[in-house]
Amino acid sequence: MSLILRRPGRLFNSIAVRWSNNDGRKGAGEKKTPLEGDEVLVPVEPYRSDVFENTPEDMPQFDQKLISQLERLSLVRFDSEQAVANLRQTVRIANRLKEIDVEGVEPMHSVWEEQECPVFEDIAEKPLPVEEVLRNAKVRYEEYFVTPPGNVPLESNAPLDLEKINQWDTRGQNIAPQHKKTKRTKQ
Amino acid sequence: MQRIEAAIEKAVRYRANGILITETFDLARKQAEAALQNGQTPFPVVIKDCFALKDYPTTCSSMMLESFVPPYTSKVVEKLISRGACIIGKANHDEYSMGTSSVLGHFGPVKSALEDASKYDWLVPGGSSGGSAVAVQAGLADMALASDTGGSTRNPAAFNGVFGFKPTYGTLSRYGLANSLDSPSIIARSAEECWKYFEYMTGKEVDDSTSTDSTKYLGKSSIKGLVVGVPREYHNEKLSEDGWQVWNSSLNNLKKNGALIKGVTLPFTKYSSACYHVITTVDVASNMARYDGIAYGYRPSEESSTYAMYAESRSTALNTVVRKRIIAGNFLLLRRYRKEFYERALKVRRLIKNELDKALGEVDVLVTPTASGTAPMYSQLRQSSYSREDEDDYFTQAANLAGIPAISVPFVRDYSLPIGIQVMAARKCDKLACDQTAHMNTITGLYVSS
Repeated sequence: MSLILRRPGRLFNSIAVRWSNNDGRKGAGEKKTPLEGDEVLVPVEPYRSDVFENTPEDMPQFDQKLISQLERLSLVRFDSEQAVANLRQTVRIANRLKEIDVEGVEPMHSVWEEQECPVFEDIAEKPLPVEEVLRNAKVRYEEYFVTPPGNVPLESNAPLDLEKINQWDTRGQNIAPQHKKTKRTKQ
Repeated sequence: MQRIEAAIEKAVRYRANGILITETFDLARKQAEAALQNGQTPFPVVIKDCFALKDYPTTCSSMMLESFVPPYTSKVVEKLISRGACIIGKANHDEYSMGTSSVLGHFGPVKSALEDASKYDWLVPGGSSGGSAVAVQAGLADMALASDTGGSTRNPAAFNGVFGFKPTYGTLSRYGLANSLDSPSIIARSAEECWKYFEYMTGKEVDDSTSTDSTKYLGKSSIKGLVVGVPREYHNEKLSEDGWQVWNSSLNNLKKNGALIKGVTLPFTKYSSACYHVITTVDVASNMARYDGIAYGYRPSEESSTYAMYAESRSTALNTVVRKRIIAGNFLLLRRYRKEFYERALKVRRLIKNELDKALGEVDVLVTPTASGTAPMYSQLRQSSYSREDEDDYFTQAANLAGIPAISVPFVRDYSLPIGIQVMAARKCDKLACDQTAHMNTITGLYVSS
C-alpha cells in the first residue's frame, strides 16, 4: 500500500508543478500501471468518452433580427462578435444528444416527480415591514418601486460584424476572460 | 471561544487568498457567546455567499448584488446557528456559482492555500465553492456551507484535500439559496463530520417546494460484504496516472477489507455533460430573469426606458460567464430549438438517472475519481480557455442529474497535491455514502490538512 500519511511538500510541489508545466494530469490518455502491490481493479485502458461532434447542417446564421431578438429575450447585450459566436458552440454541444434514441422516453423535469407540490393555505401571514422590503431598492417613491417609462422596445445598439460571427470557426479568435482584483464588501 | 478567535486569526492571515467576501467577526463573537449561554459548543463556519444571511451582504460574488442586504436568513444557515455555529464570513465563489475554478468572480479569485500564491499565478482551488473549501483546509472553519449544481462542492474539496458532501437533492432546504438546481452541501474534515452537520440541517421545509424527508437509513457497519461498483467510463482519456492509481488503490483497500468489487458500465455517462449543459443554461435563463435592478441589485444611470435600464443593469453587473449562459438559455428556448434540444436533454436526463438507479440496485455504492487530476495553476487554466472546467465536470454532473448523494474523499500521496475519490449511493442513502467514506478513511493512509 503506497498511500502515505504525509503533508504535501509545498515548496517542492510548487516547483515541480511549474517546472513540468503539466496541468495536474500527467499520463492522461495512456495505459495505466497500478501502484506496487495493487492488483488491477479498474480497466487500464482509457475509455473513449468523446462524443462525435458534428456541425449541424442547419447551423443558424446570425442576422441582425436574431441578434436583436435574443437581446430582447435575455435583456443582455452582446458585447462582442465572440459573444454571439459562442452560440454556435452551444448548438454543437446540444447536438451531441442527437446520437441518443429517446423514443418513448418521458422528459425528467425534477428529481422528486412523484412528490406532490405543496401549496400554502390562503392565510395572510405577518409580512416584513415595508421599510425592510424596500431597503434594497436604489430608487423609490413613498412605498413604491420606481421604473423608467415602459413599453419601449429594446433597441440594439452595438453594430456587430455579422460576417465575422458567421465565419467564427475559421476567422474568430476566442479570448479567455481575465480575473478581477481582490476586494471585499464595504460594511 | 478560543476556537472562534483562532479561526478569526486565520481569516486575517489568509486575506490575500480571497477566501471571504464579507468578514463577520463580530457576528461570530456574538454567536459564540449566545451558544455558550445555551450550553452549546461554539464552532466556526463559513457560508458560501449565495446563501442569504439577514442584515449582511449576500453578493453571489457578483457586482449585481454588491450592496444587497437580505431581510431574511436561509433555512440551512438558521439551523446551523441554532446548533452553535459562529459565522466567520461569507465565502467567495464563482459568480452565481457558475464555474469550476473560483477565478472570475467580481471580488477577485480564490487562491488555494496549499501553495504560496502570487499576484500573477496561483494554484486553482476548484469551484464553484472554492472559498468554502479553502476556508476548511486553511482552518478558518470546522465546516463550510457550500452548494453543488454540477460538482461545485466535490471538485474544490478534491483540489484542497478536504471532504465534500452533496446530499440527496431536496434533503437540505434551498430556501434562501440562489439557484434552483443547486443542492446545499457540506465541506468538512471528515466523513463523520459531514454526516453530523447534515443531521443539523436536514428536514422537510415548507418554504422549498422540492424539499423532501431524509429517511433514517442505517447504512452498513463495516466494509465486509459491501458491493462496490466501478464504472469503467470514469477512466476516460482525461484521467491522470495519479488519479487512476489512487482510485485503483482505494479499491484494493476496500477489497482487502472484505468488499466485493464489481465492474459496471454506465454508457450514458459521456452524454451527461451535454445534457447538463442544456438543462442548466435553460434554468439559468429563467432563474436570472429576476435581476433587473428595480427592487434590488445594480441600478445604472440609464433611465430612457424600462428595458434599456434592465439591459444596462444586467450587461454591466453580470460577468461574461453568467451573461453567456443567460443568452444560451434563451437561445435554446426559442420555439425552433426548444423541443429539439431542451426536451431531448430532459429525456436524456431520465436515461442517465435510470442507468444510475439500475447500477445502484446491483451494488451498494459506486466509487470513481472526483476530478481528472490534481488542481491546475491559473496560468494553465486560462491558457486552455477554461476547458479543464468542463473536463472535470464529467466526473460529477451525473450525480446531480439523478439527484443521488455523492461525497469526495481526499487522498494525498507522497509529495503530491490532493486527489479526490468519489463515493455515490442511491437517493436517500446518504448515511451509507458517509459511512462507507468514513470506513475508507480509516483503512487507507489519508492525509487531511489542517
